[in-house]
Amino acid sequence: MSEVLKSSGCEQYEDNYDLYVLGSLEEPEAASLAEHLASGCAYCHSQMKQAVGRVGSISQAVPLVAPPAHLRRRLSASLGVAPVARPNRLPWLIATAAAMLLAVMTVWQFRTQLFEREVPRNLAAESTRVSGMLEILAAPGTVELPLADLGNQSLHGALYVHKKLGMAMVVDKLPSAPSGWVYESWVVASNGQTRPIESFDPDAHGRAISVLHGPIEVSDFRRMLISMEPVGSASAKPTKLVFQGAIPRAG
Amino acid sequence: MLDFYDRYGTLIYSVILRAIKDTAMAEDLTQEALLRIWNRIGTFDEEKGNLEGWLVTVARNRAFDYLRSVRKNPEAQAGNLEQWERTQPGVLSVDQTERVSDRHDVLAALNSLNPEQRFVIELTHFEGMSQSEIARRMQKPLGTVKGLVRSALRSLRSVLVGADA
Repeated sequence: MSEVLKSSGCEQYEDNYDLYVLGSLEEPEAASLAEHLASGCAYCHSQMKQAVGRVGSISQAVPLVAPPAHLRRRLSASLGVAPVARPNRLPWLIATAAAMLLAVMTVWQFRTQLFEREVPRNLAAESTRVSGMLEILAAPGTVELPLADLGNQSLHGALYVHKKLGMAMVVDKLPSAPSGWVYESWVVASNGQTRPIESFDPDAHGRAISVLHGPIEVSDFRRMLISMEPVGSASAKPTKLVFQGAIPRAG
Repeated sequence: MLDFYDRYGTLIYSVILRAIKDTAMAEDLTQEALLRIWNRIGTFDEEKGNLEGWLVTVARNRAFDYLRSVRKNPEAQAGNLEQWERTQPGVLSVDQTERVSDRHDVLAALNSLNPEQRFVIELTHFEGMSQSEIARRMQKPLGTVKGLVRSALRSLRSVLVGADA
């Protein structure tokens, strides 16, 4: 298939492309192949592309199992907006969230009316995020936890945690991400496992929110992270860390 | 979002469940993967890529990441693909000629392997195991397992290339 010429030494990698794609190739083979790819070997890059296709096709051949019906209800519940009682705390935050939601809905409606086409999915995602945050802020029992900055950045952050609804992170003074990059939020569990939450963009004032939906026990988590990720990537670990916030123990 | 779930939820849940074999955790990871995919889907270029392949990659990586954290596996190198992708703009846009899209061909290729070959492919592709972990699971020397994986991958490549031709 490939017309790219094999260079000397490529043979040793012939059986490693698929394992590398799967993340199952061990050292020192993984480092050797990474170094070889970094040298720009066109043949091995073409083989890697084939391996991505091959592994993807094989992975899609899993026996299909219908998820339980309650998963759809659970997903639906996590996206829904509960009736909002007027909260007695953090009026500026509520106002900001409400303003963001209003702006999103206005743009949404405008674009839908103007172009009569599908609403951009990132607007839908933003609306979901703001709705989720409002739901958490308005719910009785939500706890506010300041995020202690572990780095030297001038960012400020706070967490709003509701045991059943989830956790909303708010940060301030976050500059716009460079072109081709997007911010991503992560949570580090007590066992050290890092879990991605979602990608997001700050508003014009550098404020950003990120929401982790679903029941949560805050003592299970140690830190919140914000990283910059290349647009379209699905990295399992933060690429460029820009913020680390230690999660205090809830009183 | 729910329409998206109705269309792809079964595939994503199946990939995750096959890897971790725990329905409760599979539900958690499926929900997490779906929100992650949903929040990133605006960056996916449908003209360049195979959406289902991308969804499977995100779901599989999430499941393998979880498994590796549970196993505390120091050998496997999570994120190799992402590291390579960052140097390859548009690689998720694997050329359609480089995809083996026919599920029937893939199943036939897997069925053409002998039981041991098929077993190691299932462990690497569906459960994210490293060759060292497979050696421990099969109670075989690492060198034997590497040979087994190598022969299985070669057989798969030859069958899939033939099917794709």
